[in-house]
Amino acid sequence: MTKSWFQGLALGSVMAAAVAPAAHAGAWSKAYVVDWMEPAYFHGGDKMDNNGPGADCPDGTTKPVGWQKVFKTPWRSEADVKFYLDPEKRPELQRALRFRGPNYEDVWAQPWLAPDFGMPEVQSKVAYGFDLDDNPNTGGFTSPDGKVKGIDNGYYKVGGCWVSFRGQPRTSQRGIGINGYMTNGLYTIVIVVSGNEDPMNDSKATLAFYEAQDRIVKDALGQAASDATFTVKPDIKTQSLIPVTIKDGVIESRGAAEIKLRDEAWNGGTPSQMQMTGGKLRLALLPNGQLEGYFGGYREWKRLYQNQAINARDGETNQGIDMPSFYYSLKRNADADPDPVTGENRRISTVYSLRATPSFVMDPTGKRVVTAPELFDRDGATRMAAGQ
Amino acid sequence: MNFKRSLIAAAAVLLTSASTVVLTSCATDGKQTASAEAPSARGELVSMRRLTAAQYERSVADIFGKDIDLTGRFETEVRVEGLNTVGAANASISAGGLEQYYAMAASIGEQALAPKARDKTMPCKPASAKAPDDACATAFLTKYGRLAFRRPLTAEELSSRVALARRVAEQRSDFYSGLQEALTSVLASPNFLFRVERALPGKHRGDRPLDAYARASRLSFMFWNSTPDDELLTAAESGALMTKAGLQAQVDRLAASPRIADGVADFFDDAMMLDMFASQSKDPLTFPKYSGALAAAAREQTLKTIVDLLVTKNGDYRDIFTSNDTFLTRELAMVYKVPFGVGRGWAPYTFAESEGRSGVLTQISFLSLFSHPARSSPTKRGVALNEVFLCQTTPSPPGDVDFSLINEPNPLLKTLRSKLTAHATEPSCAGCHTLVDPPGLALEGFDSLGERRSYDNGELIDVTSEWQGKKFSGAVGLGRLLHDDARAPQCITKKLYASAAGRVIHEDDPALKDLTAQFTRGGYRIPAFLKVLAADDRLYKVPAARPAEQQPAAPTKVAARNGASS
Amino acid sequence: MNSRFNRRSILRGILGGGAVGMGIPMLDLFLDGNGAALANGAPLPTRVGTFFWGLGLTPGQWEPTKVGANYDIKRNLEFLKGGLDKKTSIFTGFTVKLDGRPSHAHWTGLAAILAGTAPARINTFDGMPSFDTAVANTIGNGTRFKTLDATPYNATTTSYSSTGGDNYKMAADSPVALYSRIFGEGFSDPNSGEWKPDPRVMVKQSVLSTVKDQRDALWAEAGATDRARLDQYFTSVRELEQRLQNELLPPPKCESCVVPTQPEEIARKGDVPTIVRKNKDMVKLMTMALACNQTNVFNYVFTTATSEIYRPGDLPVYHGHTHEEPVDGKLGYQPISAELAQVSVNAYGDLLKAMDEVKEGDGTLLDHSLVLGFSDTGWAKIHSIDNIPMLLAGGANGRHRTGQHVKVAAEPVTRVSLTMQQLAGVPVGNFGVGSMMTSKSITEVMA
Repeated sequence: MTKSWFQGLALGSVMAAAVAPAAHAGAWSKAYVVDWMEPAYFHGGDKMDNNGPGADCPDGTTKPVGWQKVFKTPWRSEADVKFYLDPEKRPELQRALRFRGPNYEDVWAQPWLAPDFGMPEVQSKVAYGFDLDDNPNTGGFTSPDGKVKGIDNGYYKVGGCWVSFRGQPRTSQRGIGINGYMTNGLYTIVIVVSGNEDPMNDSKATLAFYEAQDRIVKDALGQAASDATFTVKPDIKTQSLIPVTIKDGVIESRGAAEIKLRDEAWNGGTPSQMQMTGGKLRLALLPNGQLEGYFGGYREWKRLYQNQAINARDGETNQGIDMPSFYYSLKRNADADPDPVTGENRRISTVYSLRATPSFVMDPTGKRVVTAPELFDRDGATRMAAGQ
Repeated sequence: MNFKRSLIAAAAVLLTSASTVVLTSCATDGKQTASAEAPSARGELVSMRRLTAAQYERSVADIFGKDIDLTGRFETEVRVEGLNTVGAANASISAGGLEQYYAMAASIGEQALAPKARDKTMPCKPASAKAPDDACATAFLTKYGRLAFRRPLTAEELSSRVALARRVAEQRSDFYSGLQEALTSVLASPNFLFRVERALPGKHRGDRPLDAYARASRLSFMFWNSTPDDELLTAAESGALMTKAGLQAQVDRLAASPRIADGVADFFDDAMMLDMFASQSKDPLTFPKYSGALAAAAREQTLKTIVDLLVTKNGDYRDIFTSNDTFLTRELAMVYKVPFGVGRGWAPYTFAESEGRSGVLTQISFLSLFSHPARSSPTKRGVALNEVFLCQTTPSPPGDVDFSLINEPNPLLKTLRSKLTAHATEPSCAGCHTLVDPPGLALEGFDSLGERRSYDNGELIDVTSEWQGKKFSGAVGLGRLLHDDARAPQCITKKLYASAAGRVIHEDDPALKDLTAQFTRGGYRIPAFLKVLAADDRLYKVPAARPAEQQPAAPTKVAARNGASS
Repeated sequence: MNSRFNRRSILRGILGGGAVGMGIPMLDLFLDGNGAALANGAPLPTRVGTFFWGLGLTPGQWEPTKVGANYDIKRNLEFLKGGLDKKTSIFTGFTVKLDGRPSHAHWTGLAAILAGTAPARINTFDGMPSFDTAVANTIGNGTRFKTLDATPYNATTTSYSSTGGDNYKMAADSPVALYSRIFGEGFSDPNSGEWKPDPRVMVKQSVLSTVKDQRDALWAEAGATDRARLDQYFTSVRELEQRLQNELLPPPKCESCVVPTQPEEIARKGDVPTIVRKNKDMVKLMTMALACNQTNVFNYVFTTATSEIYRPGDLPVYHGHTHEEPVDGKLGYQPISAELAQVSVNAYGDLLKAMDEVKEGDGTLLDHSLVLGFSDTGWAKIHSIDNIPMLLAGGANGRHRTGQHVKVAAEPVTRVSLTMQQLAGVPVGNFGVGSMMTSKSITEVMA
């Protein structure tokens, strides 16, 4: 009985992740836990200043549109406005802000009922990401190193100046916030990369995203600890198998893929599915064993709006972002998936940055290490071979 | 009950002469006081051992139930000859400690007699909950006093507490409040806090047998590390325990109980100095995986491993150096860098040969306890291994030793091995380092936390070694060597004996050689050996004093030495 | 036979402490010096309090650079200048270990410090008491109030002190309310000369007396080495008795107790000038509650964790500012938030100053007290639970080695809570749950 569930597992098929891999032919796999993921927003301002003016946002981060301005509706008197803007009446203010529609409608749920004051959008031409549509003449952004033209990142154009989004990588309030929720246990995303040639050079490898049932284990420094074991949550809505090639330790997607995984946390609520079409990915294996890079694709922009609107209380009352203006900006910058009837684009290009730490990933039974591309549905044994 | 009556008489006489005795002993060196040679009717007090924290906790759980919450600080344990249970015979209670014990006693009484717990605790129902009831108080204090003192209370011990209960009950119009205070007085008493052992008169100094209650306590603490239960005390009261058959019956009963796992676990916790985890720290920058919770799990892992091998499987003791069967949690698996399935909690695990681990020496507990906060220490590991498993003590380093070779960066001496080799060529150091470093160097494949590593400072680590004239490599080689080292079984025999007897056992102790032989003949099985030891008459004899024993034994080196070794 | 009654032990206990000195001759000899020193009248009690303010401090603007004694004073802690720094220790680098629990914004940090746990649900301590309960159980029994709770802030939650079961105390939330609680009905002037000894202390003496009765029997039987240890044990008993005897002496006159006059009511508003004025009135009342021996333990909440104080004329409140105010590129911090953080910590400073102005015996009330100032977050902007500000002021009757800056790397906040309790004299060996369970006192601040 003491001969346990995975005696012998540590042999052969699973490589000790933190040890520099030796080049060898044959089946291999490596597993990671995502310890940082945030919208990839290029910061065009001063390195030390996440808020000051820059090429991206010439006026600095978005200034509040002003409550007096959004608050005044034809049916509200100046006295009403003054009453609600007294700091002692703050709890009432939030409610009053929300129901400011022409007939007391909830403008967070029906933003089209409110006027567009104009969301300040990114002005510069530099962004992280991919030329998702393989057309250098669309998108309008160039990579920071100038090598990739026609980068599509509409979501950055919309939100890049938002005070909580803007900043150097891993320093924005939003980045710290959503990753805090993740590393503190709200959800866990794991990655398994597998192939049959060599971990550093493989022409037909697969990268799999899974959601895990176990929380991230934080180490004494507050980072995700390495070498923890995670068990896959059987739910194909948060899983994807992405065909990749690996060259000198750089992983790149082979063609456009559908990318599905657990969405980023929105102000502490349990996130739902992130689903991208036309997705691309580029991640590098770092000498310290970690994995780092970007992935992107087209997301439904109405969903992105709704995710924010759930907690518009925070966006509007604490950050001064006018929700309806955000809505109009998303609609304006949507760049894919036209509605067959109206012709209006339903998706917007997005890019996320990602960092992951070596770990172990087990199948949903917790008894077998995942070493090959497969999906695990709720029914149990549903498995699909990778599309390679 | 004639016995009890005579006790009262003796106590009364002694009370009147006590102050004289005190002053006499104060004026002399204490060797020739009148009472030392004149055993009282209760037998002479021959040993007092302060309860260890584990013994206190287990006793309270056994007497009052496992749901009693203990909040308090125990006195620091004193380790002698590698064991707190031996040091306990040198330990007393400070003023600060007494406050802690008093507060714990009061809190136990409060919990045990809380309205919800009363029905379970009380052997009787008072006539009124608002008035004194001497009969019920007597029944209660007789029952719990006996379990706490590990013998029946004397008439005076009982009556003074019944009176206390009565007074307080009157004053507060609350029977249970009175009982609580009386119980506090029982649990703050030296008769509970110390294991007081008495001997009967014998033919000569080395032939005085312990009395039946001391016998019962030794048995109980040996097998369960807790206070004797009712049946054992009854056997002591009836005199059955003083007969060969009666003793054997109790030995068989105690050994057959699953609680023997407690006794074995606590013994190894003590012998392997795992309590040192409480004061250990690791540099978080170098070892971010280390935490208090990880340390607690590492301690538990080693104890689970040992109980599983020695008790559950009734395995060969020597296999603790070689067996790779163990238990892990998810956090421990992270340090061992192996996958961990099956949800939360503990799961059995067997290290593959390729992991290079070998028995308890390669668990996080041993590897990290005997290291520095940020780097490993072949010397600390070597000293500990010699002392814990082979009973070989290493002299302290000279006071003026120069550690700069070890501690300062040196481009020519990258690995600890090269630094140590340079350091150990100093003639004053070589004598000891050649004894302790070789086994420690074989464990250099594990860092200060116990994670596997191949490089030290960028240099490939060499884990080959030569010790006791034998060449070997790495932890696996070292484990095999220790497995076959005849000193190991002799050492554990000695420590089990010392722990049970509560005193230092010397190499020339006549029983030691014989006991070791029996352990060997029995196939190195610990439970079987405990039965042999417990049934051996020699365990229950007061030894003739040795000249050297006039001084309290020196505390154990490994524990006492802070940072003076590398 | 059971009715045999040991008159000697009971008398000695019940009929006053004076007879305790009639113990065993040798122990008397041994203790003479110590006993004389203690018999100089009862020592002044140590008063213990917690002072909470919400939203932390400004990272980089309060942590001294220098570790140990004579630390440097940063902008947020300017109130320490002029001597209070020598009476205050600062703790930096302490954090909350979550063990997989969620980090509830504005809650987990204070729960960890007070109850030693990262609670599963917000607004609970997982049923555990806050540590001031243990302090009150130890030193709070001899006074009229076991604890006093106060706040100048208007909110539904007014105290984070809990005796368990996720119930929180109700604090007096205005100067008038606090005044009538302390000096209203039931108040008797401590200098009026009426005093009765605590019968519980006498019972404790009786308990010790029955313990001590066993000394003679054991002593008679023991050999030389065991006698030395018995002697040590019974010396400890005697020391405890001596302490109890002191507790039975009438307390010293409260020379510094000046019964204040009824304060005027102040409007319930959250703007800075109003709340600062209200706070100044209330800390003075609390100070007199201590000086007049009405309580030894208090909890004071300047603002709740999501502080909504505001600058007059400013639309956003403090909590809003911490989230929406940009970090000033040149300064490196949020200027308005920093200003409001300073207002908050100054309120703690006002309490310390008030306590330090009250002369008592050979020092000040603050020298005989221990006041933990703390918050819920290390950086409110992102709800960080790292580096939560914690300051410990007051000499604790010489037990606190004051004026230290203790800096650690990511060690649990419970080490501070444990140390605070031990300095207050609580018999506690460890504190906290899971990874925050610690037995490591911060010896740097223990005299």
